[in-house]
Amino acid sequence: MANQEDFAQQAMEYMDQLYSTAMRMTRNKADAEDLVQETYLKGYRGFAGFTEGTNLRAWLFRILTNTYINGYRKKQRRPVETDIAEVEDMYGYRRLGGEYAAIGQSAEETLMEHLTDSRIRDVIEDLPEQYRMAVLLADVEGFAYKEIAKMLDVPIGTIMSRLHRGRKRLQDQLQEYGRQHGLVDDVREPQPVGSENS
Amino acid sequence: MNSDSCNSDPRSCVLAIQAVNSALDGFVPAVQLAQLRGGINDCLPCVQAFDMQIQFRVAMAQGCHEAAPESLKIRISEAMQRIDLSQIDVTDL
Repeated sequence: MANQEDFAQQAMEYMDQLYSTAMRMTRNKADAEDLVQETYLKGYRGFAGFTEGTNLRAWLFRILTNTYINGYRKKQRRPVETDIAEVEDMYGYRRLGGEYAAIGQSAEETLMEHLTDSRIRDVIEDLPEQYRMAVLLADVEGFAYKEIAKMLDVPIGTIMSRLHRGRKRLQDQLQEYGRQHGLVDDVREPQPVGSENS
Repeated sequence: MNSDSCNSDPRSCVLAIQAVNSALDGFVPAVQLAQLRGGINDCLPCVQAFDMQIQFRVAMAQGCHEAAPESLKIRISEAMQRIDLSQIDVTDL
C-alpha cells in the first residue's frame, strides 16, 4: 500500500503534463488550474489505494480525465460534439490515407515549418471532445490504447476509432490551414476501385 | 526504393501507414514493428509518411507543453497540507 506522505514527492513531477492536458481539455486557464488541483487533492486522499509499482502517471491521468468528464465538462461553453457515427471510408484521405501524413511530402514539410505552437493548440482544441481526449492521451502524452481505454472506461476498439477520426480531423484542419495560407495545393483524392468506368 | 506507392497501389500505403500508427501507439509488438519497418523501406511514400507521423507527434507534444504556474504548485501543496488524512474516502476517485 502506498504511503500518502510520499505522494507529493512522487506525483508533483507530473504537474506540467497534467496541466498541459487540462489546458487542452478545458480550454481556459482558470478551469485547468482548478482541474489539476482537484486531481492532486483526489490523488492525495486516495493514494493509500494506489498500488506501488504500478503506473502513477497513468493513475493521475485517469483521475484527471474522470474529474473532467464528471465535472468540468458541464461548465464548458461549447456543447459536447459526438459524431462518432459519421461515415468515413479509406478513400477520404487525400493521398496516402495516413492520418497525419496525407498532404504530400514537400507540402507537409512546408506546412510543418509554418506550424506554430499556438496553431497546433488551436487545431487540437477545435477537435470534438471525444477525439480530442483520445489524441491528447495517445499522441501528446504517449499512453497506449489499453491505458487510455481504462482511463476513459471504453473498449480499446472505441479508442482506436476515436484516434483514427481525430487524427483525420486534425489532418483536414491543417490542410485547410495550409490551403488558406498558400502552403499546400489541393490534391486529387484517390478513386475507389471500380469507379474509373462510372 | 519505389517512388510511387507500395506495389504501385496507394491502398497498400493506406494499410501500411495504419499499421505504422498502430505500432507507434504501442499496439504492435516490437518484433512485428521491426518487420513492418522492413516492409515499408521499399516504398518511398510510406517512409516519408512514417517520418511525418513522427515529426507531427513531436510537434504536437512540443506545442501542447505548458509549464504549470508556480502559484498553482504552491496552492496545491498548501491545500494538501490542510487535508485531514484521518477523514478520507478512498472510493472518491
